[in-house]
Amino acid sequence: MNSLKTKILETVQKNNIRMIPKWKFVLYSSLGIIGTFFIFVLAVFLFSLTLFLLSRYGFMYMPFFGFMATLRALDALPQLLLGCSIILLIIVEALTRYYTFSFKRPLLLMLLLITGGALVISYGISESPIHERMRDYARDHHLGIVSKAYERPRHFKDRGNLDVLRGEVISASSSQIAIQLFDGKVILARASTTRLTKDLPALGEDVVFLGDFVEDIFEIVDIHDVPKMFFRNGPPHQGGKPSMYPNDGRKDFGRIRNATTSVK
Amino acid sequence: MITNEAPRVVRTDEEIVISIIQGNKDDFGLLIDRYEEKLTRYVRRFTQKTDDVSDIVQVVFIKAYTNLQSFDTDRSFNSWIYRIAHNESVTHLKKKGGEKVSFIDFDIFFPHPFAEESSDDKALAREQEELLEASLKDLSPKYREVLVLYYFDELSYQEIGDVLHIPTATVGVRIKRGKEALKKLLATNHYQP
Repeated sequence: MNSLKTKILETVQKNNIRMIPKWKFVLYSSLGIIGTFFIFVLAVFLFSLTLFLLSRYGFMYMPFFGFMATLRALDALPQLLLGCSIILLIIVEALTRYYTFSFKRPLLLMLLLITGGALVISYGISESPIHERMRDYARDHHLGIVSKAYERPRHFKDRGNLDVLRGEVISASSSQIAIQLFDGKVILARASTTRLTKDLPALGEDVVFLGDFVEDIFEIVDIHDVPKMFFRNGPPHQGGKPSMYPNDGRKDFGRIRNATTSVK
Repeated sequence: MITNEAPRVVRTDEEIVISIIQGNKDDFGLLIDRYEEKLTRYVRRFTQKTDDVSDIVQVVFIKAYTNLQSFDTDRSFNSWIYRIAHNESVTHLKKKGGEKVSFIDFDIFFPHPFAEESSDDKALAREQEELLEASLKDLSPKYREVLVLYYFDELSYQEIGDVLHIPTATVGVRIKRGKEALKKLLATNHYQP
């Protein structure tokens, strides 16, 4: 018997080295799969929150207003959320490469599959009532950090004069309208040109406005309808009615006069 | 001459593994007999070292024994033990720091068309084994390893993919690039086929 074989077999016989029991491998791989799944869920949640905020506060619709407005939209991206979700997806990709089904496919394909899958699921979640319910729950139960996550993404006013608002028209006169934003705040707005005065949206319409704040009033430069997309008008079980705006603003017209412009 | 003796059935590696797991520890010796020489040659060629090869191979067998219950007997034991040897060799190369083993490899990033080598190519390489072996040390570990596994250890594309955890098409690309690099080396050394 050669020396290596003798050495190893002696060690094995004396029980100096032992086989790791199968249940440990099963446990480790189960923990690995569960961990990967939770990281993926977290990444999807952050992705969907990003899409949700961009959609509900109107930043997603900036490309309708041209190239410059699109550049402005980049300022409003919740970069922390986006960065975290991308990092988490890379971790998921790295973890899945331990499994045979994954490393047999090119890395680019796996990245596209995981990221594409995460994006599709995130979009579905962002258009479903999940985030609205979470926002309401956090507000009702005074969960400060969660409520803060649903506030309008911070933007950098000094980089340009354009701003965007998405909201529902809750009051309209010939020269002014009141818009209720997703977070319940009410903003007074007026058209910056006579031509636009004719195009001001009617009561109850869900519209995106491009413009700028002049003191407390939002001066509208351009208006665009929110495109009809999956679930935009609320899920079927709610009869397709708009559900994203809180109702209290619509009832209390007195608030319009004291409208806050804290979104600035 | 006709005998009444039953023909000796050669057990597969996977059957031996099942037997070891069931408690026949001595059967591990059969696996050592089958793989010691192969793994020693592979580790020596891949790491291009002579001193630590037996230590690395010993660690490979000890790790194989301790992790034997994680082996799926429906799969190839050959690829599984070579994977352990690959990991140990890479760890050794990184520890010694003599050669650069990169973490990011763009070969595995993009999909490649699949093109397997012909058996003639393999036979041709065998004739030039000595020459090939002498030039291996000048190749980067990425190409060296794949050429060693393909030409010397005669693993299939599929098995090499399983050992290195890369797509099968990428194995073909690496072999092709490894051969091209080798040709350049031989031309520099004024070798004429």
